[in-house]
Amino acid sequence: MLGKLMKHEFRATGRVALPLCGVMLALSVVAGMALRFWNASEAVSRAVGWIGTLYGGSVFAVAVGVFAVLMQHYKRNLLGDEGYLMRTLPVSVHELLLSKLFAALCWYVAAAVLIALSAFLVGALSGELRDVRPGDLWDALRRLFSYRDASYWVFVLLGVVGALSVTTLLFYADFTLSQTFRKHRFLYHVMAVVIFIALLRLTGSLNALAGRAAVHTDIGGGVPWLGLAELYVSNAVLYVLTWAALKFRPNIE
Amino acid sequence: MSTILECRALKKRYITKEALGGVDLTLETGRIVGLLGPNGSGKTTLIKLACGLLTPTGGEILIDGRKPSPETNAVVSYLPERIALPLWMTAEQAMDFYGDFYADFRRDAAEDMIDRLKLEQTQTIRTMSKGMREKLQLILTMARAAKLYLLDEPIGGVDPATRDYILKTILTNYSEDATVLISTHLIADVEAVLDEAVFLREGSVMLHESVDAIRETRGKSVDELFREVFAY
Repeated sequence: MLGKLMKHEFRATGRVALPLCGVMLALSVVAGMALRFWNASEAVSRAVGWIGTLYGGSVFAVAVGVFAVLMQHYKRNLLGDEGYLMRTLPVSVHELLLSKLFAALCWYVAAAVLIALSAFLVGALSGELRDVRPGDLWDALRRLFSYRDASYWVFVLLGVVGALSVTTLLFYADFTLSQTFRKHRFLYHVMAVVIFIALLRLTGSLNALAGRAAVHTDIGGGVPWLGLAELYVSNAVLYVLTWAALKFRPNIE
Repeated sequence: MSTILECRALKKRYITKEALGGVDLTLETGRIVGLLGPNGSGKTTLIKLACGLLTPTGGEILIDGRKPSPETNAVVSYLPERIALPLWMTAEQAMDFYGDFYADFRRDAAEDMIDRLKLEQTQTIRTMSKGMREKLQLILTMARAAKLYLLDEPIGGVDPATRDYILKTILTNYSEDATVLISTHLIADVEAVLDEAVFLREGSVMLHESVDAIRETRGKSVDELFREVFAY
């Protein structure tokens, strides 16, 4: 059932997120081509500037929009009217929650890859990468990965996944817990955010929340696995809080 | 006949109000039961407890001998009192959704009912009228071959012609072995289809009798008895 839930999750979120990504890629093509004529005339330069701004805006829209779409979908799908359908399906609360979390992580990765691809398209189409040979990218990646040993890159991967996951679960927990109250939800909403951030800070995971734990490492002193463990404990606490609120206080709007 | 729904001293208390105060109720298979009571009597709370959308504060509720869970959801077909279908879906996508999650979903029956409504399967729910959305949700609910149908106010707020359509859809689609629990306060409209009536008042079962018994022993229709019992 987890696979089916994820299929419908992608279908629901993709209908907004995919057009956003499509617009960004289309604008990256237009921006890349337009940059070739950057110095043609003042009027053309101004037009190219506008196209570049539009492309930058579309990158921002993808980065922020995908996250906003996922959060809004969570609220509507489990805590709003759609919850009457979703929460009476023959699936467990774990399956409901994990399908949303896994789909969110997939979207973050897809958005990051597409943003990188769009930047590559701008560079390639504008002619800025004409001196770059196909093998150069591979060489650069090989040099990057040979910089530290495998355990470091495992740490980075787990750190990025953990940081993205904890950010997502922070909002899931906040929405779900404030929903369990019938009145003054906004107040509880704000209180929940403050308490969660204080707890995360207490466990030293705020760095992870900002995504820094993924790239920060104690040079010469090995990989800080303890920080990673704290990050995953935070993930577990937020997951259990969200799960318990959904299971035992299922207040739907 | 066997028991499909059983409530034992079932209680549900919200912070300031007791919605159900110790309900004892047993429903057998193969019956159409009216869950009748004025607004605020606990009808929706009882149905939500049966679906697992609420947790009891006392007593227990059993569906087919088990507490509400994903396993019981597989045999319960629930029609909420509001539109729960995602508005961006088309009727076709809504059928895909039901087909994916419910092994007992009869797609051919759903398609047949949708065709008879002259509803385009590619039309999104957002663009449908309120009445059409309600009909589609009912069609999807009744297209399941469930053991227990829980219909929360299926005829509330719709015109008389739609009421007739809804009741006809219920009658022609439920399995003979299944139980249908219809919550409503519009007694006169549903009386003709009921086998049993359950009167709820302030969270307690006041009466649970077969409709025939009410007519024979009391000499009244269910509607007349309801008006008498709940008179202000």
